Amino acid sequence: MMSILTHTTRALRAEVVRLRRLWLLPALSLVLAVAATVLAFLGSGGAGRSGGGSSSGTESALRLAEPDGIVAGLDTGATLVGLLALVLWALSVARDHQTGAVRVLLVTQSRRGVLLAGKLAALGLTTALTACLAVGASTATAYGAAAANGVSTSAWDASLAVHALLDVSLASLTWGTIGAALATATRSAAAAIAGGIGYLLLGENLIGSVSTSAERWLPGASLDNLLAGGSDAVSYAQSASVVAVTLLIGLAACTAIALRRDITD
Amino acid sequence: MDTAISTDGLTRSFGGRVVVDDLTFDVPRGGVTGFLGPNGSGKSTTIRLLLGLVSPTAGTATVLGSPLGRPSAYTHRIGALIDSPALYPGLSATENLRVHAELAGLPGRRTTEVLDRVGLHGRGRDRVRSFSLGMKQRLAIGIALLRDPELLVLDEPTNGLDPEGIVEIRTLLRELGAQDRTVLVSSHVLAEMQAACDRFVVIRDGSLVFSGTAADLLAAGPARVVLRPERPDDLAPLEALLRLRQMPVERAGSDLVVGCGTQDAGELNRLAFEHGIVLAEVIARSADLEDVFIHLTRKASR
Repeated sequence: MMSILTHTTRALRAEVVRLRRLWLLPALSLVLAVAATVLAFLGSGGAGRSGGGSSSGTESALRLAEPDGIVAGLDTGATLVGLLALVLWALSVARDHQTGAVRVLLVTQSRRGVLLAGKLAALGLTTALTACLAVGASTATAYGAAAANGVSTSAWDASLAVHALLDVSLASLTWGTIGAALATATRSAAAAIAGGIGYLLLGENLIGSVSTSAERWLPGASLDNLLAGGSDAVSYAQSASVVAVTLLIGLAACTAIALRRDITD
Repeated sequence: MDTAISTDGLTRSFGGRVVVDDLTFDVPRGGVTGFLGPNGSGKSTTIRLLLGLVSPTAGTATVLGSPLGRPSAYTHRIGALIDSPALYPGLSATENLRVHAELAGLPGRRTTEVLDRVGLHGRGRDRVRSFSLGMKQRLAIGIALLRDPELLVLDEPTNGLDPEGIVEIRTLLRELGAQDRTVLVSSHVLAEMQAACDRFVVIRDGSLVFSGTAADLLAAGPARVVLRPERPDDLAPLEALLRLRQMPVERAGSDLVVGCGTQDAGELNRLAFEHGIVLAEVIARSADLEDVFIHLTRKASR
């Protein structure tokens, strides 16, 4: 009897065939990560140059010259990469239902758990690879932008880039899982993307304005705080825990719905 | 009978509405079985039940000898086209096939063989969104054939096909049925179904109306004899004469349509002649599948 692993690998490979055509989203992630890094260094010229640059630019350059300056572009860039992961996962899951392909896929591989595991594994690998490339591109761009703007890189800590890679990967996987869970529930890419981004960007702000103490438990706020490396109000560990729990709840929701729901559309 | 599909009291409700109602029928192994029913009669839900996409509310079934509850025991021996062609429009024809080939662990060359088989040779690299409905239908049939299945379940396979394509699909179905495969096919093109199928299962409102051979089904239909008097003035007396003999008769323009066996045509001609009515035409018509389908499904809905 063929192992579950073999079937899951096949499901993963089948999903990869599809994902190749969605290369634009990972490519866009790279572009956004690079653009966010360039923007972070714009206007910072002056530090280390005699008489050059404005006082705010000098201030900015001094801040960028600190050890975490190496990942300065990822403050904004990582959130954009995460949002694109949500879109990618939601599109991939919802399109199976919207095109009706899920009906035939489930005849080809009737073990729903295997089909889902292969799909999520392919999406996870793509997302992790995208995160790697985005962090790598952002870091490389940061060195170039620092040189162009006269920002000193002598204090930069390369280990923070590795740490950022783990954070961006975890955050992107969580954004993606939220997209997949919503798409599995709604079977609509538009509803999943609008619902996911709407909740995380708008819904949580509303909740946060009503109760500031709730923010430490909200997924979107925790994702932001994780990528920022924690804050005075909420620790990095607290945010990482909320993000990890959100990831697990998302996966459990995907699995429960996919295993139990009839394919009637 | 060695059966490919056997259902026993299969039932499925959605929110209190019974869509498949106590359905019991057998599909023998080998040959082509037509699955007929009006729109909304429960055909698609029955097919989804058989493929493990929907769970039954009650009843049981076996497909290729395995119970419905374990679709992984039999679906790898099935090819299916369910409803409309379910394809990824942004992928090429080859990529659509490859998704399923990878999932099934089939070698890449199989996609080329299947493209040739369904007449899409040379179009493998084209994106599916540029395909006509007929081409999409061919590709969806190709996906169903990918694993060289023992049981092929095709829901409306001729949708969108031109006459040449319809004939090709009919030929393909006959070939597959003759190769010891079982084909269960639903279609609204009844003339094609009559030409392609050995057996039929007919349902109405989720319930079984008929299950048996094509010959038995056609025999169950209403045969009729069409009479056309030479003089139009004889139409009314002839109608009165037939009604007097308790024969079901309807006017159709300058004809009278008599609901009786084709073997009664001579007797009707003789009767008219004995009453001084000369018939210009006597046409004995056996029931075709369309007649039988309408007859059975209307009768069941009364």
